[in-house]
Amino acid sequence: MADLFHYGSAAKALDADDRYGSDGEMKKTQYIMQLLGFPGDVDTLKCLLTAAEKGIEVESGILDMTKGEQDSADYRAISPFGLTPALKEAYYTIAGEPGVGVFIEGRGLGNRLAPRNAAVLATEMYWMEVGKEDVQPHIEALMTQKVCGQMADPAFVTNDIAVQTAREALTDPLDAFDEQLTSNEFVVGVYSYADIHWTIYIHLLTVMGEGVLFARHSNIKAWFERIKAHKSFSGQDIISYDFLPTLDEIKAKVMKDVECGEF
Amino acid sequence: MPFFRKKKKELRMTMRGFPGDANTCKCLLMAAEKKVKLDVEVLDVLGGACDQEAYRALSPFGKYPYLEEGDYSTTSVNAVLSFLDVRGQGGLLNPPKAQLFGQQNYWAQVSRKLCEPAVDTLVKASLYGIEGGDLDAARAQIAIVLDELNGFIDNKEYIVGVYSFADIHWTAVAHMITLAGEQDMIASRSNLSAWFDRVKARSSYAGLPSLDDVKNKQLRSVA
Repeated sequence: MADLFHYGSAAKALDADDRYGSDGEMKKTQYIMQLLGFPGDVDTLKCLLTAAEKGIEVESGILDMTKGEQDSADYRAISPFGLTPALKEAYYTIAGEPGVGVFIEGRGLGNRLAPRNAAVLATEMYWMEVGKEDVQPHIEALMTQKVCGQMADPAFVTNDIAVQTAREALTDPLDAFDEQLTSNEFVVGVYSYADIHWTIYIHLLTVMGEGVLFARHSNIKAWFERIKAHKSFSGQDIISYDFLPTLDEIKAKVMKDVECGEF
Repeated sequence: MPFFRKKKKELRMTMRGFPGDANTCKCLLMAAEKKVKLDVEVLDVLGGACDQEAYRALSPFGKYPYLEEGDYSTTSVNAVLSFLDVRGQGGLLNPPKAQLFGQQNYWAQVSRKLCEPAVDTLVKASLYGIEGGDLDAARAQIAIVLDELNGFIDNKEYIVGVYSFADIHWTAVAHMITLAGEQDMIASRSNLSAWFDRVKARSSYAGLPSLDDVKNKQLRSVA
């Protein structure tokens, strides 16, 4: 059975000259994390963005979901139910966005992303639930129809009805999201997990050429501009949004590593 | 000079939910664990109550359960659970250690995504006579997930070691499996059976709806 995490630093000898940390400079992330996912997968991108926001350096590996690799025996040895993405740090492995996200958060730098105030925390959770249940399935449908279907099978023919159904289903959630942003700089006021989730939804709509779905929503557009210029939550001199893949990168099955550099 | 400790104000909230819904049961458990007095109202989701205009004015996407405290309200299971966790007594249920926090969320996701839809199929069929779901497929799906969980909790008192959100999720699921008459699915797995005995021994478990409560669509307040 193949070890899918055998790439990057993990594939090098412990005393290799170019292994992570070998220059003697110690960062908090003594072990680099490996993220195994797919650039067209919503949950993978949420975790990638969380890592960048929390100052965690990540080596990305590709799990080719257009070939069904999430169902392979090798991947099921890591994630028994095929939940994506999977993350490894030293001897610890975890799969699925809710688990991976909080592990990165807990190991990362700076304050917690989850608000401490009960009401604000609940509001954050509510908008994450709306995203997962009322937005994400339709983003995934569009991704399949417009991008990944043809990557999996060149003979794939886009189902126009499925595309239109997904677009229509996104109308109410986007309206509500725009209203939520009326008087908030970020989704619940302060930057939180809710922003990470919705950044991926709006980013993928944009790269798929579906920006017209929020073209009339001035609050979403203003929030998205803020997100695109938002410096890492942990204080490092990086723009987290820059690590997200373009459409060409999704099609080429390329995912950036997260490199945080200096403060 | 004596020290005076400010008495924590009694928390009283109102929740709308459905007794045959695992998510409602999770919130009842959490309220009891965190010593929050919870008045309850039944939202008959099988009768379409969450699609009524009046309810949609409160919860635009029809999500439930729905919680109110004074002027504040929130809806959907994770929002209600988090609100109760922070507002209630005692420490937060999220484990402070990143590894355990990750495992907690992993098992919560497995519950919600891979097990609860199948449990819901069994509950609807056995308790409300709603046919249409593939019962054998539902049982098979639950068995696969329970086998994995049974292996994971070997030598653990609670799912990730310490009592956490994962136990809240799975207590509600195990309770619904039992009410659906499928208790052997728990009893036949030794680690799971021992864990279920431990969570049933906690006082919070007594507040979950009984078989009659579920069949008659009634909820009991958390006192």
